[in-house]
Amino acid sequence: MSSMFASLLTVLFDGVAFGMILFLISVGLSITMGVMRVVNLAHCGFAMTGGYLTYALTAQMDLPFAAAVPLAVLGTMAIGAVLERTVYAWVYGQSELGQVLMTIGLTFVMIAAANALFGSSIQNIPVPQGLRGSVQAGPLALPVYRLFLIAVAAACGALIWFALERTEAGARLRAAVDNARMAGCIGINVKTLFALTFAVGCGFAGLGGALGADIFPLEPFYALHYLVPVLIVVSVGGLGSIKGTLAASLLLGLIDTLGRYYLPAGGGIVIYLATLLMLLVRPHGLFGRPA
Amino acid sequence: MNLQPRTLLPAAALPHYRLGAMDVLPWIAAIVAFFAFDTYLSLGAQILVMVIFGLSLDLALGFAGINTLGHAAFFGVGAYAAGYWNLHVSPEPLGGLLAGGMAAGVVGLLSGWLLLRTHGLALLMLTMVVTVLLHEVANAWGSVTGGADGLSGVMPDPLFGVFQFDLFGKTAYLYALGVLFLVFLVVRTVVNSPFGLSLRGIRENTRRMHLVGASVHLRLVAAYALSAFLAGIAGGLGAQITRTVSLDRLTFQLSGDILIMLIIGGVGRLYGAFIGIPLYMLMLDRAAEVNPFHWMFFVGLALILLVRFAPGGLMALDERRRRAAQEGTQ
Amino acid sequence: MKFRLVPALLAGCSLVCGMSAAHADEVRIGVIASFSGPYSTWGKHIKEATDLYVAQQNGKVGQHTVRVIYKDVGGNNPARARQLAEELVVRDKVQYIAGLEFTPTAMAVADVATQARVPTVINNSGTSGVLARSPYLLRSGYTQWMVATPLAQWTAAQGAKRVFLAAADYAPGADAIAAYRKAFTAAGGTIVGELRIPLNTTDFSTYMQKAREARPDTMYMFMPVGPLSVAFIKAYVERGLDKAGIKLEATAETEESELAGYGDAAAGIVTALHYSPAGTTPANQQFVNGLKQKYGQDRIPNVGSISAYDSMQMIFQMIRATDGKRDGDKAMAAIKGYKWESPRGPVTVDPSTRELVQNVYIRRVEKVNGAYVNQPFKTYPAIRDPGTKVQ
Repeated sequence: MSSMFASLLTVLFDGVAFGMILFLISVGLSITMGVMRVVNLAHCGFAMTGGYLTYALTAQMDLPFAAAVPLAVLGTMAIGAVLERTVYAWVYGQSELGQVLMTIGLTFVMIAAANALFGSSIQNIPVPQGLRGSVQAGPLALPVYRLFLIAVAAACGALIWFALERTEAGARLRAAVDNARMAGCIGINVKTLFALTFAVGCGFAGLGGALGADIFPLEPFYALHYLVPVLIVVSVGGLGSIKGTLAASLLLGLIDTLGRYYLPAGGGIVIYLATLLMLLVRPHGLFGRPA
Repeated sequence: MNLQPRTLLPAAALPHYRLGAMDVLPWIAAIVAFFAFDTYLSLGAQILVMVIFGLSLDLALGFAGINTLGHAAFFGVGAYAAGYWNLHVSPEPLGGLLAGGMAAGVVGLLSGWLLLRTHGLALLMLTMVVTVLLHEVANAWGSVTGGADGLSGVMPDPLFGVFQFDLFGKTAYLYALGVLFLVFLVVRTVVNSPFGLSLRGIRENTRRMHLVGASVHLRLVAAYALSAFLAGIAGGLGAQITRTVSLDRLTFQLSGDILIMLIIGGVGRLYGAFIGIPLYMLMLDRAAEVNPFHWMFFVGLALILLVRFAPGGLMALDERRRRAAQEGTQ
Repeated sequence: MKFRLVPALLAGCSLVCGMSAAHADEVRIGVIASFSGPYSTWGKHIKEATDLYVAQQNGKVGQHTVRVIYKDVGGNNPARARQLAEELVVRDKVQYIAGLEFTPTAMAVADVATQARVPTVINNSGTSGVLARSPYLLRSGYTQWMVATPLAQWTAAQGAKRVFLAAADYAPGADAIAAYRKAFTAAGGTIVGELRIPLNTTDFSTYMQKAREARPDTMYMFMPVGPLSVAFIKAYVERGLDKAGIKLEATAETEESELAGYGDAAAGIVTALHYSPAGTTPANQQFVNGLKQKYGQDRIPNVGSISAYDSMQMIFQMIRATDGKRDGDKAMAAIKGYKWESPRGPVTVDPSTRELVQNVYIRRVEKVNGAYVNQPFKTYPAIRDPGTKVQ
């Protein structure tokens, strides 16, 4: 009996860990799409960029993990900022379709670049010794790295919430989202603010890509493979809502993990059926607001 | 000066019933290709299948304004239905084609009725989810679809009892061309009909259409179902010509690909599919010979530049040139 | 003077050329493989090994020159495979086809082979029964039955009693599970659980949990070579299954192009396969060194390389047997029963199944000279595929 309970707890822990990694990768997209109303299908490309930069810094240039990850995040942010000022600025006024196409094009370019620079095999990011192995918590053996991921994702979530709700910059951003013209009138530099926000969103994606390389292996098609789960998380959670993204990530992570555990054959279907139902019932997502 | 805003969809226009050059040129080109490129006919047949698929998408996206990332669902369902029909019911090709179309049409009707209550991003996501969901179902339902291995050994009988499907692809090419012609007639008639006009109205200004008293939801569902039926025919045709059906006919990536191909030609302009799709597929075929991976870079770059400088696709460039010529003479 | 000389020269030329054309013509071979997309490492290995073989034969069989035409199928795309096969036959007029890494692509090409009577050597695709699709199909790879059966027998002989089976949910996976189950239960063991894992899985933790709960002493895995194998093995280590005393067995999952990427996670995994580049026969040394010389010291052949190399061996034999002429039936008759010493060991083409009869080696992942290799330590000789009998 207790072993069944222990199994259930382990599966729940796995679901939470998976959900948190998904949250880390997706939160940037929720911010970007919520704030700037741009359908950014290239988001997973930025996650991939963060992952590959970390790989290049650790495996190729022998930097320690703790130094490589922040540098990779900064690098991703820089790339994001440059792209925002150039290609994304072109499609701000356009319809959703135009944005979808531009970002798909960008994704293709990223995939081709990744392949040209790093080859098509999976690249492994060496995890530091201190984060390997597992920790005994009663009858459960919890992998240390997953605990680390949960902690980092939770910290990021808290950081973003704090920045948005309790700082002046956050208040300015919320104002600009609510009414960009008025915000401009009272002296908020909307363009710069949006550009910075986009860069930050890309940075979080890069962080997710770098840290999650164990679960989501790094290879050039990363940018397309994980697009579907990420888009699902963001649309189910509601654009621009951190709470929503967190709730949706955890929900989908748990449903997917439990589904695979109890129904190994049809496990993959459960998550899509659940998404379909959720989006039909609440098209703007769990916590989203209509435009 | 060109006052036309740069958008993907063309400006609202009255239907035109007269036959123009574009109504006749594609068929001439196709017949010429049949004789001139007789060792490329299997590629040609596959291009024709994709053009049918593109036409069906144009109906939904370009005319009814339904933003969909999920058209591969209907293509795939049609392919599997036709393949299954061939293996288990009858190898007669036309029946299989119809089976494919009907199966896809039913899926389109049901999903359209459910999904078309939403719009914008939610609709986009929902169409994507339906595609991925059907992909998973096909994956799991191995007894019917062959699961990850797909269906093979689809052997259609000779067409009309006479024309064997040969190695050169001659029968396949002409078969596909015939089907394309019929589909084109259907789409052209629908688009230029009052129904088609109402679809364009819905695309341009949905609220106004409600005010005018048109039943928007019904019309959208009808257009979506018809579009699905045609996509299913394309899928079934593909299954019969390539003699296999596999999961890659039901992926989100395929939806994206056909969207890209159509956009390059020009969406909502009916003939965009005839331009964009053969161009893309021929370039893909050539690029695969030369340098398989790097073509992705160029396609991506081309898309980005297209969206910025020529969002209406190649057909819009032609439109602009014509308009400039007109304005120049005034 | 000039006028007379030129026609004479021309006549003389055409006579000579005509004569040599009768003997030295070009035999073309089409290779359909993945050179782009997520499986492009297959294409690279296949091309390198094929080019090596052709170069080692100086690009000739007797008086005939051989030309290999490569076409990119871009992964598991059966429709594209069929189209490429049609083009190779119709446009490039090949006499033989090789390549084909996946079961669906092999099936798609089968009826092109039949219609055009072109002998086709399938390099990979491990499902039994594929060769029955056409009388012109051959296989230079292996089937799951061939490798899973000796592995199961070896495991039982080591005293293992409880095995958990985990395979990807597609035809070769089903074959792998069925083969292992049959052999292991016949040897007196028990299968304590079985999992069919969807091909789109990214996170294996739940499956590891299930495996752990069944408390086996060994787990046998089958995953397609690539991201799934990597993720599975990493999850196995991360979940502590190795520390819980559950040994891991596999077949091709630790193949050389991914082995370096596993790091220490793969150490100790026991696999069964028809080839290991760590084997020490002279034929293998020649093959491995040949590759290193041509492509660089870091080149290690894998299952794809050896398949491609041996497929060329078979095709060259068929060219020899038909004297470079296009005769699919004669070629097929000649290749049945053909024996040779391949880098993988002694090989025969089984006349009743058209599969290869070959050795299967039990290997362990060990560090040799600072790098991890699949070190063979036991040989099961002359294994046949017990699958379908074909003409």
